[in-house]
Amino acid sequence: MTSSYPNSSDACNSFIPPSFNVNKVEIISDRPDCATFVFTDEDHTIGNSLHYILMKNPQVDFSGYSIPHPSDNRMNLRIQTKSNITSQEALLNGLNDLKNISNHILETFNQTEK
Amino acid sequence: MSDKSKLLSRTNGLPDKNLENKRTRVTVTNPGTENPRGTYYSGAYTSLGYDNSFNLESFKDNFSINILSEKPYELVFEMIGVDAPIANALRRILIAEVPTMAIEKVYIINNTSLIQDEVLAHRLGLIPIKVDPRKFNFKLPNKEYTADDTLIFSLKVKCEKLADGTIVNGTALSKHLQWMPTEDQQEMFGSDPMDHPRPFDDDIPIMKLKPGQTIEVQCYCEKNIGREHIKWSPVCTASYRLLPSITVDPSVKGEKAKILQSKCPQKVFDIEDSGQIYAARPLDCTMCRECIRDPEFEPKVKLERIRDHFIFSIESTGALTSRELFQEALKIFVEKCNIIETSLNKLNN
Repeated sequence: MTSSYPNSSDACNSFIPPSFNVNKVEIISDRPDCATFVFTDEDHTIGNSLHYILMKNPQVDFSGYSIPHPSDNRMNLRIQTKSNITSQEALLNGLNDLKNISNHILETFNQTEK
Repeated sequence: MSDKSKLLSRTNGLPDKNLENKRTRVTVTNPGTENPRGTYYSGAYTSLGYDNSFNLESFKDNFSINILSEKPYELVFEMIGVDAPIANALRRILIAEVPTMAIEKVYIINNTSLIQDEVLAHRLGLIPIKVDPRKFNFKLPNKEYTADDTLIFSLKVKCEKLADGTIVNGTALSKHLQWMPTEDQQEMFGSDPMDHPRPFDDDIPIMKLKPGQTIEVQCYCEKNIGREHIKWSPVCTASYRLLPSITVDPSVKGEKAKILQSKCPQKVFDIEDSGQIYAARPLDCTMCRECIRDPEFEPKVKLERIRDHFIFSIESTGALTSRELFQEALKIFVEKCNIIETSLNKLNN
């Protein structure tokens, strides 16, 4: 994300603290169609919205998320698909859907005036 | 698969009235709420011929935003056609993940007041600073302060008793914080003092002083997010509620209608010329349930909330306007998804 301000560098983007940007996801899986994704520094914000959008995907059989301990900065997301796509593809589709939703809300909001 | 999806529709809702009500409404009854959780599983209503999966096109068709009231720092709007997890994610991002600038390090040069140094530093941190955080970088740990990530304020107040007995500077206020531009910061903010970084409010008391007491500190502002400390949260409140929907049975007329109308403390009901009562101002309803408390009216009044109709309110602390805050929140949501996506792709390579 490049900022329009001349004094901000790319190394340090203007939205997300840089420490939240490393080793975001780990995958624990021994089959392509189900996996547990371990997110670092994520919480209900991303967890619940991903769980929601994955449940809304007809190719996904199960999705669920948990925050195992409140003092751990980890969030687990479990995905099981109907085996015509892999769980990683399902997650990428979900992220894409969330981005589309967000972009559409922004577009609509920008067009709305009082 | 394709034949099956042709049979499923998403336009008409569910054929069963009870189930359709469960799907789209949260019912409020005397003991409490019913069906507070939405059903999001894609195949939940397949046997009834309803497609509950996500589809971007139909989302776009159903989605709308309507602004109810807008002041620079207070925004109330309706967001229709979105489910609770998305609305909640935006609310959470507004509170905890939109960055602002706040005082983080305080160098105490002199403090002869009654307030301890650490308490003073905490109070200074909580003062909202009016400066666009998008002009700054996050300060990296163990790096020198630079003009790109730090703002410096100095606070120098001395309380004195004048010859005529009046006391000056009995209270150190936020307006006493003086911005000390470093490097090219002066050019960055122009010459108009109103555009300069300053506390959003001038009259926040920092401490009380007695004659002879002095306070001299240097404050270093850094950019960070509300998850780290609440002083970086850009909102006083960001909250939403669901739109109330109140339906009254047509049998409530005449005198009975007047009794029901007088029960509502928010004056939600109006009576038509025909004597029929109806909810004219559902937005004013606070769900106090006064109208269904009387056993006589309980079966006649249906109190519900519409599951995908959010009344969002954003009250800013002053760094950005409420409108900008919501736009930032949406961008941050996208950015969070992007970071996860890049990280996933890195794992595969």
